[in-house]
Amino acid sequence: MAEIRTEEMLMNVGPQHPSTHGVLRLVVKLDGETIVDVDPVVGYLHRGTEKLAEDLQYTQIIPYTDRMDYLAAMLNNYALVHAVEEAMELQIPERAEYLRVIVMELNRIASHLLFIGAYLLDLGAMSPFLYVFQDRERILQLFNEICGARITYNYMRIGGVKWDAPPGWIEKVQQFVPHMRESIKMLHDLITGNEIFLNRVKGIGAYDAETAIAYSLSGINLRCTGYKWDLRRNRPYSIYDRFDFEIPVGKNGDCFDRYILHLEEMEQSLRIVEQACGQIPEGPVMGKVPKILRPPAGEYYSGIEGARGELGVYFVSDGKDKPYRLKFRRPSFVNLQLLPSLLKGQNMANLIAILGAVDIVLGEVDC
Amino acid sequence: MSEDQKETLPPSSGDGGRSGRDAASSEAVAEGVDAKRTASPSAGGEPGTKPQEAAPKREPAAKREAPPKKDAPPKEPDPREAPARALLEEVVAEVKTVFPDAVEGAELQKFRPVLLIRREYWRDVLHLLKTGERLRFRYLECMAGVDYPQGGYIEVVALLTRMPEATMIEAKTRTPRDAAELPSAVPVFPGANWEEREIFDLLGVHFEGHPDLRRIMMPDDWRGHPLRKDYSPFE
Repeated sequence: MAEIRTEEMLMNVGPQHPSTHGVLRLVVKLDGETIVDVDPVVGYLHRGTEKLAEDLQYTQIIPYTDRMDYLAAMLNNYALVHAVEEAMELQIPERAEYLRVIVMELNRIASHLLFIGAYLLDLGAMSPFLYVFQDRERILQLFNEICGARITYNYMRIGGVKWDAPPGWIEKVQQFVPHMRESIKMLHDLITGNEIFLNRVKGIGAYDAETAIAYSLSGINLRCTGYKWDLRRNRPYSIYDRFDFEIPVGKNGDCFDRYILHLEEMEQSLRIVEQACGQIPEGPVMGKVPKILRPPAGEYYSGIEGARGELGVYFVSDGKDKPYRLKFRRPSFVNLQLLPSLLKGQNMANLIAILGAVDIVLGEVDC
Repeated sequence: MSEDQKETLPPSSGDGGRSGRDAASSEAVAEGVDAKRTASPSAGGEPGTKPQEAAPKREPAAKREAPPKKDAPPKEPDPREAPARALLEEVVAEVKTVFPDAVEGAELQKFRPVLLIRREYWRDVLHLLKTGERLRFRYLECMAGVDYPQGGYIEVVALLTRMPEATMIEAKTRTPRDAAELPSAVPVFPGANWEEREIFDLLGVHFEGHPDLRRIMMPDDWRGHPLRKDYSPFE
């Protein structure tokens, strides 16, 4: 009897596929149901931000950062202005620092909420997506009130922030905090105990801390292995040293740990928001900065803890008002590198579970 | 910084709102930049010598701006300076014991030690920086390429971090623009893979020994390397 001829199959996932969170394309080589090799193809959303930035003054680059990680644009704004402020040693008014921390942590919560909704949607659960959007909507409303935009905020400036909080805004944030705590509890009830979900994510896509460090992973992708590394603590910037908060870490480095850390980090962000709302002083929100910003010639790097990991800005100044070279170290881009080795040997059905847990934003991967 | 007083406003979207406050005094502008420096006791010390250089050129505003510029050269020592310099010396010494002629230059950039490595030793030095007993910079935080057409070279930068202390150093190397080639760092840091592909794509540096050197951002059939300073999309 003749043998049945078998061969490996190439399957194309994306770039227009709802589970790839944007325009990521995966060329998957399959042996039956088993993944033999994966080649992620990126660049579909490449806009040349770094090249464009070379022709823009530092303040003009800020709106471009909104479009990188568009789920956490406040953090992107901050990464850039923080790098320039460090280079020029500018003094930032207290109130501006507090406002920045409040909006950054709220943005982190909004971003993590969307992760949870989208991840569960990837795995086939529709309802969490609808619940998280209710809470995310409240955060976007708050942002709308403070800066007039829901996604692309363009809120931070070199030396401070663009707008002071409108009257009653801080109180609204304070009211939001307990509400959000209830929501997190609800999400735990809804998802964390669900057996179908647990079977899909427990022990899937696991790696250890050594691998994570070798691949330069950061953020939750690194902390899920149990390695405590958060730039807000390890290399404190802004006023994070004034707040009392924990760095949650995982144990197994699997998809479940990555999921649960998002929920735990939201709780910590709420703690920071709560403390910041209690401490925020009155005062100006914009420091004294030169009208034309010329960082002294040199090379600068500063990294912050973004929603997805370390968001770094490396720039070379030649003393002019535009950067000679500006490089964004985007956490999604770096984190995505590990994907092929995670997927090798996995079942095809796990592809979406593992990819979803990496938590990428293609606007940031492609920059 | 002396040209800061030019009254041109940046045509940026954002500054309209605060221009009222800023217009109040041009001297405030100068103070902002040098807030740290002027805090030093020497700030008001030698205004006597100053006016002769600054006065002839400009109106009173120029005079005010001058003092902070004057005491720039002395520079009070920053508390971050000493440990950074110690680290720099330590790292350079460590590297030199193994590769005596690998280090071309060493300096501090904003309190971050920077080592300029001869490019033949690039991968070996990175390996040493990662595994050396007293170095242990095992986390590659960021890689970037910078084009310097005047110097005729492209600089590739790697920012390395020691964990968990979060001490960061910068290693960089140079390669000629017309034959840009470097040993790949991927065997040492697997995380350098995509960063090097990006540098190859956008700056045209070939990384020898890279497992998968293809374009990553631009289409595969793209010609030219967009981040080079002389790149023109219309050729």
